[in-house]
Amino acid sequence: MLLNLSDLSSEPLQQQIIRQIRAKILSSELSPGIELPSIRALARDQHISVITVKRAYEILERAGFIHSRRGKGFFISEIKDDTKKEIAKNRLIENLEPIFKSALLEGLTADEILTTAVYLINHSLTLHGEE
Amino acid sequence: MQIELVQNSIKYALEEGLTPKEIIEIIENLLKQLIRTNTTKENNNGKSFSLD
Repeated sequence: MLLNLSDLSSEPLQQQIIRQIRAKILSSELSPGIELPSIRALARDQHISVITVKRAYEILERAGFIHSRRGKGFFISEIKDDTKKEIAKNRLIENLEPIFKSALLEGLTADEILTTAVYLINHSLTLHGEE
Repeated sequence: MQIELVQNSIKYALEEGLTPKEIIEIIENLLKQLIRTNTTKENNNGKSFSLD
């Protein structure tokens, strides 16, 4: 499982692990039943502390993305495709709502915000294509 | 507007499997909902947002 963690990011390492594993599950890159690397193996491979990985796995488990089998490790949980879309959609709304609310109050029009968002989507797609 | 936060949110949504079309629809609906909420709140002093 390839994670791209960065010490230089303002996002804490634990959050980077959670976000990247969640994205791989929601986008179906990781299928139900697939075993995750052990906490120690992931910590070793990524040169990070065992505690950071352990806490990230615990949060993903509590959220229902993964489950543990005693003595066997952590596995990807079964989530319906509709539910995956709903989770991603709700997360996007949760992230954007306060920003858009402020932008509207600052005087931007909805059209201006939409145009900016479309530009940023295209920009992200271009960057993604270059990776 | 906090462009970097919007950009990250969009990047994460794409990584989580939403398509550009789905993201645009979600944003359009969110903006409509915010405008509706604001229009209701600000109805008395004439201030409102518009999607035009």
